Amino acid sequence: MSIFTTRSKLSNKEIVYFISINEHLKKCVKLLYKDNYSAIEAMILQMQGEKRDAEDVFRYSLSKVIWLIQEKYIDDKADIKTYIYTLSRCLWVSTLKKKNNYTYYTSDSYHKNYDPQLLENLPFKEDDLFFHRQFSNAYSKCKPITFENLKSIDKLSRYWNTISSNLSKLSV
Amino acid sequence: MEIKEIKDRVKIEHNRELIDKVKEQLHREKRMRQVLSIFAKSFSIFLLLVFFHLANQVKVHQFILEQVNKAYINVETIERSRLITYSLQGVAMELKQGNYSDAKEILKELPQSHHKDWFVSLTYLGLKDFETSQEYLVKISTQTDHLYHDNIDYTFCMKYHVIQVRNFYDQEGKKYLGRTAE
Repeated sequence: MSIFTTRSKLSNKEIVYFISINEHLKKCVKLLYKDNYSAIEAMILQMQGEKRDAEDVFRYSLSKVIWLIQEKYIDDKADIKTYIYTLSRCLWVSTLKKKNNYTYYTSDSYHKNYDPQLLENLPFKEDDLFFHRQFSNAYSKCKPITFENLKSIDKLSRYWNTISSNLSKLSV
Repeated sequence: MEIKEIKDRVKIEHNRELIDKVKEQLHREKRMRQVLSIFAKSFSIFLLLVFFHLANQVKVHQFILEQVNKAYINVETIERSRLITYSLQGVAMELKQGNYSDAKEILKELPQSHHKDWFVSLTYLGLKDFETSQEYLVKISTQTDHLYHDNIDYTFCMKYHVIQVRNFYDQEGKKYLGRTAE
């Protein structure tokens, strides 16, 4: 399979393929961003969120979907839109629950791209926005992090464990 | 948290950084598109204003007068036959005074010449018969040895087209007002 740079659209299968081999990542992310952001933003705004929340939810969900493809949790038969929407909704609902601000949104549970069954086989079920933001903060403070140098991972792990104990006390 | 999960989350953070970069790029592209769009709209408005300014500046009679003045000098210096010279001078005088129908009548009697072509095109322009006027202008511009060939330059063509467009809208306006009056 080869990429045609002049083509503005890639199929779902092509996107999954390129992400899984870590090629043309920027182009794939660009397409996924353009295709999915507005739907996620609409969902977050409808569910008591703000534009900033929508941006954060979307980028964390998208980064997770890309990671799931890279780790072969998702194959090319899957609809990426559904994964992005479902993970985004799950992430935002967990965040709202943590804020004690969650009321059930029936209309959104029947969205064409929402499929809770997808979550059954995926890791990090208990994620929320607050957790992600804190981890991003810890990650940026412990840079540079490389997998070859285990010391940097250990440093991040130690730093994370010290701050994560206080996590539940903080609010979003 | 286990080291494995930390590693996985670091991978997710790497992806998040890439997404942030793409997001920035998309924002930059959007801003660039907005700037280009504003620039294109401003430029179009500027062109439109320039055109309106030109349309207001260019008066048909003034334009014909300028062209006749250029031709009059040539008539005096080049034309040998005295009768024809007087007739051409008469045409020039009529054109200067805006009597285009009279100029047309005199031109009918004159033999073919470079001066006649030039005056006929100006007379029909004055009469707002652009089709005939253009016929003669095309004839002049295609004949490279024509005495008035060099007179048809970019400025002349631009002013001529401005007059033509303005005349078209004047006619449309008259037609529209005529209908509403009915």
